[in-house]
Amino acid sequence: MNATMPGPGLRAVSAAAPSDPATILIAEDDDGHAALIRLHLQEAGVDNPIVRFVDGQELLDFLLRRGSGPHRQSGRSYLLLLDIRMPKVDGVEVLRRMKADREVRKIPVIVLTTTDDPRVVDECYALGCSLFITKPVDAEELFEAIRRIGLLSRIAAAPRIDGFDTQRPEKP
Amino acid sequence: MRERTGDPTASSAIRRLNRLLLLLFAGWSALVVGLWLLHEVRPDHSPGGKDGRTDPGENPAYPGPDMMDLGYALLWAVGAAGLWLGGRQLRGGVQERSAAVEAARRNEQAVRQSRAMLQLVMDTIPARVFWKDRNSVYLGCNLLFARDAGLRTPEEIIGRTDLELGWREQAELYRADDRLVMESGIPKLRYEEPQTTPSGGRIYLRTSKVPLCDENGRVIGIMGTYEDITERKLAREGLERERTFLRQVIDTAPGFICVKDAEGRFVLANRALAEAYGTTVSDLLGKTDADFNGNPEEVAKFRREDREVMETRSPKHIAEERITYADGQTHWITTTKVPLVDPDGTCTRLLAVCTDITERKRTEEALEKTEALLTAAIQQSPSGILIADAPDVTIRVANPAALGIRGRTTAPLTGIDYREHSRNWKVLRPDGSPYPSEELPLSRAVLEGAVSENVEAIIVNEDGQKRWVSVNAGPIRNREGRVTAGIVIFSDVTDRKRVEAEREELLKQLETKNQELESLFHAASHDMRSPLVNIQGFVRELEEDCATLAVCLAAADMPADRRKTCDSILNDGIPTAVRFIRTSGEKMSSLINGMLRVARSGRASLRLESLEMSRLLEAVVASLGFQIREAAARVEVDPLPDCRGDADQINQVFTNLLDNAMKYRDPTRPLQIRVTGRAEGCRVVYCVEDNGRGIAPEHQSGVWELFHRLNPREDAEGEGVGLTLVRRIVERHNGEVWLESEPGKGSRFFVALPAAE
Repeated sequence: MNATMPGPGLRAVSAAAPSDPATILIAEDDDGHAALIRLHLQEAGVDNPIVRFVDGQELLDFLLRRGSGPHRQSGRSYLLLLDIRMPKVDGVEVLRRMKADREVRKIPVIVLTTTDDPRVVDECYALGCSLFITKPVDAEELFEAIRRIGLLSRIAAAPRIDGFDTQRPEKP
Repeated sequence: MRERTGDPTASSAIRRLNRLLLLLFAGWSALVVGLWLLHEVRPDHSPGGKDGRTDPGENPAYPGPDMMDLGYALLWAVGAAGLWLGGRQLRGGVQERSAAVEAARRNEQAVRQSRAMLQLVMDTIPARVFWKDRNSVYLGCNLLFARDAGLRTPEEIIGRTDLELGWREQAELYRADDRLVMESGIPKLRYEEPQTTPSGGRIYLRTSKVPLCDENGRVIGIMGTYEDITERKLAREGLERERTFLRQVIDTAPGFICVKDAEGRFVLANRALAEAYGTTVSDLLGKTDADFNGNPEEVAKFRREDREVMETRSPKHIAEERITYADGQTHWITTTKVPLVDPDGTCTRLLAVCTDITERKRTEEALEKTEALLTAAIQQSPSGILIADAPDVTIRVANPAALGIRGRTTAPLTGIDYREHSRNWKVLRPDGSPYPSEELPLSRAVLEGAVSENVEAIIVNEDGQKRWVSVNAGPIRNREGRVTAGIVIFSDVTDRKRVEAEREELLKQLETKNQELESLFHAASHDMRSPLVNIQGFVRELEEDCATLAVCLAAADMPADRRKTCDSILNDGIPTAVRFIRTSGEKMSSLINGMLRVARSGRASLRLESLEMSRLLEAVVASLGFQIREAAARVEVDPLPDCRGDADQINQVFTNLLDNAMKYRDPTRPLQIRVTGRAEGCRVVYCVEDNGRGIAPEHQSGVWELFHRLNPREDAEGEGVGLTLVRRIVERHNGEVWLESEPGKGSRFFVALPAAE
């Protein structure tokens, strides 16, 4: 696993009182990768709900509740696995826009991508990603990396987004 | 002058007495007058020449008192009267020697008269008179002498000696003279001597002493006379001093000073001239230039000038002329000749004053030479040069190069002041805006004393063509530091500017290309890795599925030949395919990683510092400890000179070289690696030497290339970028790499880097 250091946003909490599990969002344009991630997470015993997006635009529409596709729900927790090179809007831009939003910025973001360009690593952390993981090409290593992400997602507390205004009508 | 009268045949006592007295009177008179004449009256005793012994020419205007003339007249009168009377008595005595009584009476009367007369003469004569006996005891003196001696009457002197008088100090001197005169019988005349006055003062005398002889010619005493010449002596001394002073002045003067007469003879000359002519001042007098100057032309010229000055009676200044010295050397002098006009209006002499200006002349010649050199330099300079005068920045000089850069025009380019500069010298700033006249480097140099260095500007010529120039300007100051002019030097850098611009453009393009290439690398690495992730990931799934399938098949009921086929697929066909797919994936991944590393090595910035290479190699060897043990290699590191480089990158260079040596070792012998280094001028050269397989000559240049492998089949591990990285890094350090190798023996890899400072 190529993770450098844990970023802000992931806090270890007691596993004794898990609130309803965070939804894992996977932004990944490569179907194969997406399938492998799902498979490996399942193998690691992660049963959280998983939602996959094929590009940055689809993800932003969901997070910022725009467009005709599915939108995120208030009061829920999310954890994002973000690829960098994606059509339409790339991962770095997604990260920038997420961090510009008062609520969405709370979502922990694990960048999971094939690139190991140090400039990209720097930029993502500067923008506020929680963790940057380079996808190992080696199958066993990839499995191991995703298994650990799965374990992490089980013990990490993810903040509820718009948790305190669930009673208020949703803004259009 | 000695008296020689007397008649030894006389017999009577009275007659003898009478005759003696008569003789005495006559003798005295003659003696005194004669002595006086001797003493005082000289051939030149004209009203203007009392000081007869000095050269008449030297003091032509001595103002003597007329009182002296009265004194002479009186003397003559009294002397003549005495002689006449004496003569008459003598004659009378001889003619009437028989009438004894009458004669005695008359003689007595005559004696009385003569005594009175003698006394009168003595006291009136304007000189001191005294007489002494053989022992220098005073027998008598006149009134003036008595007073000089501090006595009231002449009688008081009788019986005294000089030792008892006011001039005791000089007594021995006087007495010595007395003795000399008396012993030799020769008078000592007109000599100067000092005398102490009764009041203790010091005066100067001119004394004459004559011996007194009796009728037998025996010296019986001495008679002397003197006069006080103190005043005259002092005046003479004063004159002497003045003359000496004037002499000193003209001799000290550095130039030549001389007076010439109508014939060109030197009447006066100073030492400088005498020395130049190789002679003495006194030798020069009375001679002419021709006697000393070997150059007839010069002599003739001097003579012409002299004549002209005396004829026109107006001064003449000759700014420069040559004069040949006695040593044959030619000097330059500046001369002023002034006529000396006599009171009667005639002019027979001239004064010439000359200054040696040879040095100045040489300086001037040197200056002229310098100026000629500078002019040539300015004219020949390939850079444009303008020189402008203060205060209006009036362009005085524009050299051909300046005019060439400016281009052909009918507008005046010199003689114009700064208000017109911008009209005729159109100059733009690099941004294309026009230069105000007063801000041009040349104007600023003259007006503000400002120095400009390598200022870039554009000069526009008549056709609107723009020439880029690099401009240097500065003030020219005089000795007081005031700016008197300014100079601007500008060279046409248009071509250089164009080349620079082109190079800059190329560099920019290159940079863009590099960035594009790098982005391409990264994009490619990402995009190439993505499929690899799938290939590897799904191969793994495939294997797991195959394992599950094998379990299911084992439990399934099927014919033996089909089971055999299935087993073959599951145990042989699929695993073989999976292994190839996986290996190829790994290889692909490795190539991508190598490509990325090379791409990135060109991007990292270098932190240059002095590197202690012995220590750096120690670290490299330590970090490769595992591989070295695996390869059973012996690594020797000699003491190494230090170099200048980036620690991380140079570490990478030697890590790769050692790694390479171990990778290509010869399995038939134990690997030996030796690292050496030597300083070579301003760089250091390191060598990593091994006894490995070596590289064939045809492969030697290829080893530095990306993904080059000596033996692709055997060298599966590694990315194939090690040496490429080595070369890239060393070249970024302005270094150099090369190798020497012999197949089967080993290789030497050389790395040259800048030496540590």
